Formats: sequence, structure tokens, C-alpha cells
Amino acid sequence: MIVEAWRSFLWVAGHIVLIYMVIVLLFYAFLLVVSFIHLRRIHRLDDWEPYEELLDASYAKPVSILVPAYNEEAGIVGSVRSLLAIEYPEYEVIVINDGSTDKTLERLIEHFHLQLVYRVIRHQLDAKEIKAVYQSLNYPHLFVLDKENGGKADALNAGINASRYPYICTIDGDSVLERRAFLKVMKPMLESDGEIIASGGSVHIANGCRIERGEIVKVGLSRRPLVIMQTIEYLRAFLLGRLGLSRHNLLLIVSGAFGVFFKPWVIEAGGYADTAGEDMELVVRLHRLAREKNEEKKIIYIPDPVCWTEAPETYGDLRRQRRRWHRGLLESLWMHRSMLFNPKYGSIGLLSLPYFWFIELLGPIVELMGYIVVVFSLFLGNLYVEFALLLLTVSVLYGSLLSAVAVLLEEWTERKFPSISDLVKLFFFALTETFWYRPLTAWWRCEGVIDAIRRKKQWGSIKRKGVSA
Amino acid sequence: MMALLVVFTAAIALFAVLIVLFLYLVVRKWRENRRQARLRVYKERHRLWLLRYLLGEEEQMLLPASPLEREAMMELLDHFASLLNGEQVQERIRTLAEMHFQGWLHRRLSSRHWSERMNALFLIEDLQVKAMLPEMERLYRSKRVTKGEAAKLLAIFAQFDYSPVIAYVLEPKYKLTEFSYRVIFGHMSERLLRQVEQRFDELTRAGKCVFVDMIGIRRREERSFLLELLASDESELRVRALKAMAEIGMPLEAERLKQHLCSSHWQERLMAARLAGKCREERLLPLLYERLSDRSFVVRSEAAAAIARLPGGRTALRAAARTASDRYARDMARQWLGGGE
Repeated sequence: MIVEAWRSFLWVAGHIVLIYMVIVLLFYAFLLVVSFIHLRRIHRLDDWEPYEELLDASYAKPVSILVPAYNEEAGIVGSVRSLLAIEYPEYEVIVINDGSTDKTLERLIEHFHLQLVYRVIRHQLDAKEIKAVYQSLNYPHLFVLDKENGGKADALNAGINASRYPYICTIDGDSVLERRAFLKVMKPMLESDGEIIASGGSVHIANGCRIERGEIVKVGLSRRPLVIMQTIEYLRAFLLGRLGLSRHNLLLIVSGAFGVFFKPWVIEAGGYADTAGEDMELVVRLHRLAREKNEEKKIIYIPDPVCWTEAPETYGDLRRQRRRWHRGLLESLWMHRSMLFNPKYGSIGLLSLPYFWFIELLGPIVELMGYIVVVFSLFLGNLYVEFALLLLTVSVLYGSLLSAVAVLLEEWTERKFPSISDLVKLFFFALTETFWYRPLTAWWRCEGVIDAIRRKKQWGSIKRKGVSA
Repeated sequence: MMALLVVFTAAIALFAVLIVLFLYLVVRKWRENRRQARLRVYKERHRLWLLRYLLGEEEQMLLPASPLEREAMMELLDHFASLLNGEQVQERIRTLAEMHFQGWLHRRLSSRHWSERMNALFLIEDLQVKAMLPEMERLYRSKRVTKGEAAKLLAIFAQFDYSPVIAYVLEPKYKLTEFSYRVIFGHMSERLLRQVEQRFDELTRAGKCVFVDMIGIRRREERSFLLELLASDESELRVRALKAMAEIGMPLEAERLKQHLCSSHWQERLMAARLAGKCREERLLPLLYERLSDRSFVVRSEAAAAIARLPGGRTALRAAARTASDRYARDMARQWLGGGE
């Protein structure tokens, strides 16, 4: 009796998983076609010429770069140095030391010769008290806010309050920006005359690259399989997911690691909210605000500008990161659940949010179920073995082959990795994805769902070596 | 069983396609890396020679013998065009480009790939290949020209002082954004700008705003034109005119300035305060002092900055920091005094 019930369960669950995966595969295939057409159109375009005129200050608009930092002593100096070297006519860098308990502030004071200054802070968004404002003697456009600990969202809101310019850019304290990334990410915003209110660039993994004095000198690949898999995962997420969604203004994520926003809209949307995924949460609110005000506003992703960030190298760190990301995703989606299938919010309510609910959020749960069904079915005899093989084949298509396609798409168009051996490694590691990396991350993301249900809260930072140390 | 067979076959087929694609990309990468290495070698070998030729120290010019050499030479020329100034050098670059690359540019401009046409336009612009004007005109008039190309073409026409650009700007093929207008007007000669000014009313709203901005950016002496705009019904044009006057440092009498300092639009008060700071007249102090308590933060900040620039301004700010009844005014004054006073 129990065995029969178990078989029936496997049969039903297996078919649900199978149908789900086929639908998702088709959706990804659609995104792939959209991305391919766009990348193909621009892939031979000169890397620099379209942006050259933006170096003239009268064409560009000034930007405030916000760098929230909590216990980032290992990498903060390099990150700030990379920001001071970017090519952009007018900008200020505001580092927000969110009550770090390590030597983040001391490192900054020492390296950049900071001195206390008096600056009136415009109270536009709620944030914990700013204890002191510092300005660098050597770089007058570098400011450091020392504030009470309040979390990343609170730190960003404090930064927005202190910022002077109409555009804000948020960058993680552990990231390094390509010198021209800024010009590239700003160009569509400037050209659109206010139609584009947020834009995000690609984030790549810095582990394995050679970085000197806050600048990427040579792009390389880490030797650790765990990091290589994350590199592939980022390529896939950015080139297949975001680009495809961005082309139809369906984007709900502008990575916190590197994104630019038009400040008045951010303030009107209420700034950053205290959730684990504050970057996504803000983007959803911006879309919501635009729809409620009935204004045609766009949020876009640009594949070329690259921000390099440090990826976790150990299973423990990666697990913590993925749990936090997924918890943030669920929190945001839950907060805006009234928008789901709500025609008032147009394509965001009818397409984007369903995508994030059913593919991004529920994906790992279904995937995990798929792995369980495969394993058990293999022990249950003929018909089940066939079904297990069918499911496994679809999983390979869904995981490994799609990732391999992403690697090839990158090589066909962007070509960020100069060495042939890196390309070979990326391709073959992508093919192994279904057999170890995907089940692992699916499990961690499921843990994130459990965390969200149990309402666990923390900054969730990982141990840093410092990408540019 | 059937489903398994279908999916399995599909997966194998896709896998095979991916492997073929992968091999192709590996070979392409290998060839591209090799080509880049050869390109680097050629460039290194001829860089100095070309530089000396452009500077007039070398009479004999090397002729590119293969497509690779031509590409290397183009890259070198493009590089030098951005580094070297001087009419004679630019003239030599242009002559070389016209002599060796015209056919290549022509083929690229007729390409069906958008990115190739754009790259050709960038090169024409950098190397100032004016001989390509008829072909660019043809591209602009063609049906396939895209929004991005049209904007770039207009910018190049403006740079080449090509008169028909006026008509194109007044009736553009695609709606031009403020940014595009800025680039186009930014490249125009004084002669072309005068022609646009004469037909100012025919411009779109974005075009008008940018044209006024351009007066400030280019520091053009357009006093009567700007004063006329100050009387405009459109607040945006008044704001831009005040901004341009502040850029140029064109004084405005206190009575008229007061009118704008008390405007209901904060942007107008902001620009009026900026202009007041540039006028450096002590009798503007009381007007600006009032604005230290403005309901807009940016106006308060600008007013404080303006006061700091006026004669006797720092004394006024010190007084405000101590005695102003409004907390915002006190804070702002303190910030502009540097916090120490």
C-alpha cells in the first residue's frame, strides 16, 4: 500500500517537474533568441568610440557613487581607488561606513588622508544617524560617512541623503569597476532624456584576474571549480536572463553590485527597504511607481560595462550567500504579491512577476524534487528508469546545455576571456553543472526559502580576501 | 519510451551543435589571437615612422600592402588623431585616410550590419574624411538609416560645417533627444549656430532648451537674445536663459533678478541665485539672504554659495550662522563657512 502511494507520488511529482522544466526551457530559449539578436547587432561595434563624447562634461550629468561598507577592511581601499580612477567628467564617491567593527574607517582615513568636514545632510529618506562626515585632502570628491550600524539599505539611504548629484550609483565595497564602465552605463540614461530611470551593468567574477592598484590588468579564470561554476552562472544569468528581460522592460533586478538610478525617482519610491535583497526590492518599487503614475519609464541592463566582484570560494560562504539571495527574493516578491497577475501593472504584473515567482523562486524547489524523483525512480524498475532518464535528459538540457550556450554566446559576442584554455575550461565545466553544482545551489536556495519563512535576518557577509588587495 | 527517444535525440543533436560551435569558436579565437599579435607587431614596427611622417619629419610614406596592414594603419591613425593637434597634422591624417581608406569606408557604409556602418562613421569622424560627405548624405536619406546612425550623421555634418544640416536639424528624421541636440550644436561652427538662431522658433522644445544651454557652454555673447528669453512664458526657457547667463557671467540688474529669485519655480530661483553669485554685487546680498530660508534645499545651498562669492559675503554668512531665525539657513551658512567658523 505504502509502496503504491510512493509510486503514485513519484509519478505525479515527476510529471509536474517534467512539464515545468519543458516550459522553462522554452522560455529560456525565447530569452536566448532575444539576447542573441541584440548581441549580434552590437557585437562588432567599436568598444570605445560611442562613448568618447561623453568625456566632455557638458554632455554628461554628474553622479554620486555610493559604496556601503560593513567590515570591508580587506578590499575597501582597492575598491575606492578603482572608483577614483574611473573615466567620467564629474562625480563624487561617498563611502558609507555602516558601523563597521573592524578597521574599515581607519584604513580609509589613513590611505586617503581624510579630514572631518561639516556638511548639511538633506533628510529625504529615513536612515540611522550619521556621526561624522570626512572628506579626502587628496581627492576632494571623495567623502566618507561614518554612521551607526543599520544594515545595507539604511547605509544606502544615508548615502542618498548626503549625495549632491541627480544620479546615484551603488557599488558593493568588494567590487572593482572597469574604468569606462561608468560612461557606458550612463550613456543610455543620458540619451533617453529621463525615460530610463535605472540601468545596471554586468557583474563578472574577479577571482583569478590580475588586479593592480584597483584596476583589472588581466582577465583570468580561477582554478577552483566552485568559482568557475559561479563564473558560468553569472554569464548565464546576465546574458540569457537579464538581457532578454531588459529588451522588453521586464527587468526586476539591477544588481546591487553595480547599478545607476535617477535619484528623484528613488526618493519618491521611498529609497531602499530593509530586506535581504534591497536592490531588487527598489527596482520592483520603481516599476510600481511608474505604473501607478502612468509614466513610460524604463529600467535596463547593458551587457558591456563590467563590474568585477569577489565570489565566495568555499562551500560555506557560497551557501550563506545563496541562502541570503533567495530569502531576499522571496521577501520582495511577497511584499509586492498584490502586483502578481494584476493587469494594472501591465507586463510587470502579468509577465515579469510570474517569471520571478515561478521560475526564479520556485525553480530550485522543483529542481530538487526532480533530483529526488530521478534517484528514486532509478530503483523502481523498467518504466520508472525510462522516466528517470527522460527527466535527467531534460535536466541536462535545462542546466548544463543552457549554461554551455551562455558560455558560447559570451565568446561569440563579448569575448572577455582572452585565453583559449579558459574558454575550454568554461565550456566543459558548464557541461558538468547538472551533476553537482545545480543540485547543491538548488538545495541552498531552498534553505533560503525556509529562512524567509522563519524570518531570519543578518547582513550575511562572506569572508573577504579583498579582490584588489 | 517515445518521449524519451525524442528528448534524448534532441539533447544529442543540441550537444552536437554546441560541440561544433565550440570548435568553431576555439579556432576563431586562436586565429583572432594570432591576428591581434601580428597587428601589434606591425603597429609597434611602424608607429614611430608614421608619427614622424605626420609631424612632417619624414617625407616617404609606407603603403599598406595587405588588409591586416591597412587595419593596423587605420588603428594607428585613429590613435594619433586623438592625440595630436595642429592643422598640418590633421590635414596629413585626412589626406592619408582619403587616399587609402575611402574604398574600405564606402564598403562599410553600405554594409547590412548596423555596427559596421556605425564603426565607419566613427572613423570618418575621427579622421575627418570629408570626401565621404556625399556617401553619408546618401545614407542619411536612405530608408534603412536607424535612429542612432541619423544622430551620428547629423553630428558629423555639423562638425564638417555642412550647411544642409540646418534643415535636417529643424526637421529631423527621428525625434532628437536633448542629448543629440547637445552633441550636434556642440559641433557646429559659429556660422551654423547663427543660422539656427535665426530659425529658433522652428526648433522643438528640446532643441530650443539645448540651443540656449549651448550659448552658456560656448560662452557666446548673446545678451539681447537671452534677455528676450527671460520674458518668455515658458519657465523652462527662462531657467535655461538664466543658467546660460550665469555660465557666461552676464550681469543682470537687481530689480530683474529679484523677479526670478521670487519665482514659483524652484529651478528658476536656483538659477537666479547662481547668476546672482556671478554678478558679485553687494546690493544683491539682502535678496540672497532671504533665499537662505528657501523651501527648496538646493536653492538654499546655491544661495549660500552665491553669498560666499559676493563682497562682504562671508561676514553675512557668519551673521546668518549665528543669528538667522531659520535653522536651515543657519546650517547652510555653516556649511559654506567650512564648519569651522
